[in-house]
Amino acid sequence: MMMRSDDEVKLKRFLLGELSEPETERVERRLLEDDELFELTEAFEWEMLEDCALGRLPPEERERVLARLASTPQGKRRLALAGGLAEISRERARGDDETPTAEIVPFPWRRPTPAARARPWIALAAALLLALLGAWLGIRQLGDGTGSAAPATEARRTPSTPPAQAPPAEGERIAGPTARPLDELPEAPPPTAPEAPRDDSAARPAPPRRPEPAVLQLALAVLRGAGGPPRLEVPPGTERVEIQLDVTGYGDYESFDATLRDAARLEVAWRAEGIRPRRLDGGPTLVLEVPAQDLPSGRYELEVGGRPVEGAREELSFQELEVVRRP
Amino acid sequence: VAVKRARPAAFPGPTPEEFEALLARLDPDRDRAGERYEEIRRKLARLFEWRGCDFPEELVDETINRVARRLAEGVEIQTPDPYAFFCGVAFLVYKESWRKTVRERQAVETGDWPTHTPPASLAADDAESRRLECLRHCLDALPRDQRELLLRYHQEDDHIRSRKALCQEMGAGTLNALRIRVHRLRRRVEDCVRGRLAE
Repeated sequence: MMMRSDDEVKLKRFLLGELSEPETERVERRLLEDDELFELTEAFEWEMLEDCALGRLPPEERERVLARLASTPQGKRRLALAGGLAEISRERARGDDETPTAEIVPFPWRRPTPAARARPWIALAAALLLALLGAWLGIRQLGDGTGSAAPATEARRTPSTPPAQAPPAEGERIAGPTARPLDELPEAPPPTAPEAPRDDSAARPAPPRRPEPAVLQLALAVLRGAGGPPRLEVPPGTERVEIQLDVTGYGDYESFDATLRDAARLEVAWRAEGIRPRRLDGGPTLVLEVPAQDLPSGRYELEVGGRPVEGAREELSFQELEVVRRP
Repeated sequence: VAVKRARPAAFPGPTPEEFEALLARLDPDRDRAGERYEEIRRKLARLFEWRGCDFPEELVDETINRVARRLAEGVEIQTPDPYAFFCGVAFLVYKESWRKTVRERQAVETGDWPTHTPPASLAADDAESRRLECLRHCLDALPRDQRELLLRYHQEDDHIRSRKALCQEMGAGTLNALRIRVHRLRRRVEDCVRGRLAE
């Protein structure tokens, strides 16, 4: 959404019914097409109602706002809420409320650090390196007749762990969704695997096959588009869900936390702290492993925070996703 | 004379075939089409509200019905996106509704009707008090940092300057980015309050 300086004036005039009919129709059409512009218009509407509720408007303008935006039952309800929110905000600012304050740092990705400025180049270099490595491995595998290399684009769609995964060695087990630290994970299997030492475990029956998870890949910083939130389809029988978040360029965070909240009920469906990125297909990736049973169909909000080596937790991402469970 | 516009007669909904034709036009994936349908409904309702219509949901129903019917009849939409078609039909529905309202207003103004005075506002006070209670509850249900952002955004008297300062403090880029962020939080709170009031 591109917002020009005169758009704000025009949108407010639209809300007050002061545009000509052709202009109104043009604005309405743009609003139907552009989700963010629509949200911004609703935000302007709220501000006008708030100004009205708090007596900030001259009488004539107040009358116009009341007539245009607060004449319907829905408008009256919004006016009451705008006034109520301002009242509660002031109450709490005066200290009438004992709710502790929190440090708010909601847009850290908008403050480019030197590392962030170099992020695209680092990503490009990593991608080239990976492409070369992948090509070399593919040629080796084809030459050996051991199979074909998966295309790189598919590799990113795969679960972070293979379905028939051997149980991790003692000491590698990490509780919950936490993954192994970044530097402990190999980028790719070695070209020639050393012969495994023979032990008793080889004679044991193979471990039960771990069902393949449903995977959804997301970016940390997102602008909502017109197509609705990303969708995670969960086939029947799925036991776990993997949400993979690319955290390239977020190397200055020691660990991350993630919360999935039911968007309708505002209830936490799943939460994990101390998550460290894994290296998947060359890129550091947060892998959120969520028991599928915790996610019934519906809309969820995913909030991701990062804890820098020094300093307070920062909110890094806030986005919606939809879970659809297949019957 | 202040007149509430009459609630339009209940329109019969689209037939299953009409509804399927509508979904198919919105997106080949039926689930995505369902999402787009819901989004269009919500937006149309707000557009009708902004035009001052008293019963936006009914007008949305009528708009959707007409679009679905035309599509089921095999009408080819000439515009590249379905939004323009919805907009055009919505405008016709709005104009019809407006003409009807004007006729009703004229009828009321020429008649000798007793003036309706709303009853005393005790019930309104109760409702207001309950709404505030729900609002407090829903605010407290937000994660702490989001609640603090929402409250700080609304608490200052010199709100324009303080919001610009908040925007800079958070590195939000533009004031509009901050506005949208806060608006999304407000919508969640609004939905939560509506849900609790309906319980």
